[in-house]
Amino acid sequence: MDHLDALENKSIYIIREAYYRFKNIAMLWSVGKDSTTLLWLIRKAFFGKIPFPIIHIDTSYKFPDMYEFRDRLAREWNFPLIVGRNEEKLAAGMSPSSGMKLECCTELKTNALKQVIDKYKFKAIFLGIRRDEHGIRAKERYFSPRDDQFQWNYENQPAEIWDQYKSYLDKEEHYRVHPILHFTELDIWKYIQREKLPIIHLYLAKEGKRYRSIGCVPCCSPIESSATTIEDMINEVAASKTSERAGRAQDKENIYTMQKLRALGYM
Amino acid sequence: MQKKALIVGIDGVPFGLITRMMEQGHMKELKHMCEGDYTIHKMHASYPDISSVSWTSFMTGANPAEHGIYGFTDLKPNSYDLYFPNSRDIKAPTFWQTLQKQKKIKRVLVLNIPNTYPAFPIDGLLVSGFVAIDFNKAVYPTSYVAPLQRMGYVIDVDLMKARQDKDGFYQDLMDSLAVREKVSINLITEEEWDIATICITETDRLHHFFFDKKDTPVFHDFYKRVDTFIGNIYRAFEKKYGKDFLFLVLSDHGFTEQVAEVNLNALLRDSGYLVTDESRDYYDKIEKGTIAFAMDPGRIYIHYEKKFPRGQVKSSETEQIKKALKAVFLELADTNGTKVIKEVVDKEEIYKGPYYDNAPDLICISNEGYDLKGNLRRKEVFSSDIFKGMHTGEDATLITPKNITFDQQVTIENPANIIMNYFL
Repeated sequence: MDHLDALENKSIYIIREAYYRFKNIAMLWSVGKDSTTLLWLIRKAFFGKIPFPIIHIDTSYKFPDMYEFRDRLAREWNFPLIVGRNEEKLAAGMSPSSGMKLECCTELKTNALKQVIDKYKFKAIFLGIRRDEHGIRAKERYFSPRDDQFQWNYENQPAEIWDQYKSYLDKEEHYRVHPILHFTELDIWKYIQREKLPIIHLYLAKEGKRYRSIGCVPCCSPIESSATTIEDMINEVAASKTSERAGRAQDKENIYTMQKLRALGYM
Repeated sequence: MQKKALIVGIDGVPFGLITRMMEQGHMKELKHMCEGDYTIHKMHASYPDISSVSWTSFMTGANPAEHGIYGFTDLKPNSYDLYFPNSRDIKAPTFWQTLQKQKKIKRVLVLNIPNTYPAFPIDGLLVSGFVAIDFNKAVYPTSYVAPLQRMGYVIDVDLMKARQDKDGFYQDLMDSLAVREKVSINLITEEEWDIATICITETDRLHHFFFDKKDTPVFHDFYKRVDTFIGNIYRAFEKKYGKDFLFLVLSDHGFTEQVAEVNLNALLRDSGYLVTDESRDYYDKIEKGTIAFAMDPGRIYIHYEKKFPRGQVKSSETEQIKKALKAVFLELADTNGTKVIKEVVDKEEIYKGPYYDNAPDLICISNEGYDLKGNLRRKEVFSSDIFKGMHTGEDATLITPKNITFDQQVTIENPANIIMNYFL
């Protein structure tokens, strides 16, 4: 079987397995290339009709192109879209400027998602993360439990061997399901090219710069690039030696330390 | 017979305050001890007077240039990248590591000492204190994680609650004391320890948020509770091992009432010594043209060409710059004319050891009430928040057996030597 077909088959198997297990499921869509690929795979898995809501967590600091792309695709692909915003913190002026990047992510992303999950009582969420993105993500499972505090106990995870997935959970938990965990950045671009998927043009070079990973405007830096087509990009990614998320500012491992120090008046 | 030691930490308890609490009858157990076999000394904290630095000096008997910890925050070498030093960054051995290596002692209990996260290997049990994030990484060996959780052990109270519900926060502190006492007594009673080191950190939390209430029942009740805690673990230890053991009580720094927060970077910016690019984050804001910047609480770093990517200051300019900076700091006065900074200490006077190069070039010591801050966010020199107390360096507390005397000023580096000498 073709490599991309094999990846696609595995993803679709996981998507269907998860939907069968959890009726109250949703997908988290960042509007970036990975979760848009996942969205496409979900459409394929259910023959063009997406049978559950798609969540977009809106920090209000996203690139304008992202909002436009989000609304256009929601219309064209015809799926129910939930937009999650932490209105309380936004009203209080939370922003990534003024040296508050870490708290900003926690409030406007993590807690906004928490609010959506609480409101709709979702038991499982599809995410488009990939093992090759980040060291800690390499330890992820396809079915990854989170406790009621949203904590991921990566030292105590179910084994996933011979495609046997632990897909039942305790009362207070919810599952993160990662159908494209096995894709690499390069696979994603090859798949996007093959399937002719729409992508935000921020990924393509303009005046010698492009974004390799997109999120909120203040926290993303473009890289030097001359890749103006997906073909160019595949060549560039294949040759690249730096990490994809190097242009992203947040370092989640320090969030809690920072919060605790701030709570006592440091920093 | 195997010698034994019980050491109790009381985070942030000032000598003056605890002496008064004893005199006023709020701390009967300690008063009784200090009238009997024990005596109380005023002790100097580390420079700076921050828990992670001071407790590391306690654990290692070393000064920051030897153990490498200068604060809760630091910058990675030759960069503006902020990191949070933790137990992995401690460069000197702890007193129990030295004693265990020399086979003077076997099992050791270390409970809730700040800057012991992540928990590191020990023959015995180590439960990390502030700043511990993941409980699974805060306990060594991990077989204790589940039993401690079953007992309801908590590393720290929810500090954010102090902003929303002060009464609830106070109650949480009391509850947290109770569970820490229960776990301590359980561990002392059920298991064998040659040294048990138990730290009470609730006092520091109380002080940060309630120091304006130091002469009210809020404090009296709390100190009574701390007194009972100490008395109870003392008796549990005594019951098990008899009267003959080394007993120490110590704090890592003192406390006083906060008048204002003083943002040293705002002062440096206003005086033209600091240039920032606000589009960047944290210390990465520091721009070319910066002569010096501050980190919490009063650590001053000269922006040397050889130490920082955008630094332009040459080593030859050191004396002249230090002199100018000292003048700026010592001149600073409150609106009512009160001088803010009492003393500016040069690194040469206080630090000695292999990590001397990482030390701040100057340390500002404030007059009582002026809480020095090193963040780059605040634009005004003076500000206020919800905090009522601030750390002080000169009046930490040390209670030792009566026969222990000191020729010179007692410092936080001394207790480790007392413990080691006892077991030698």
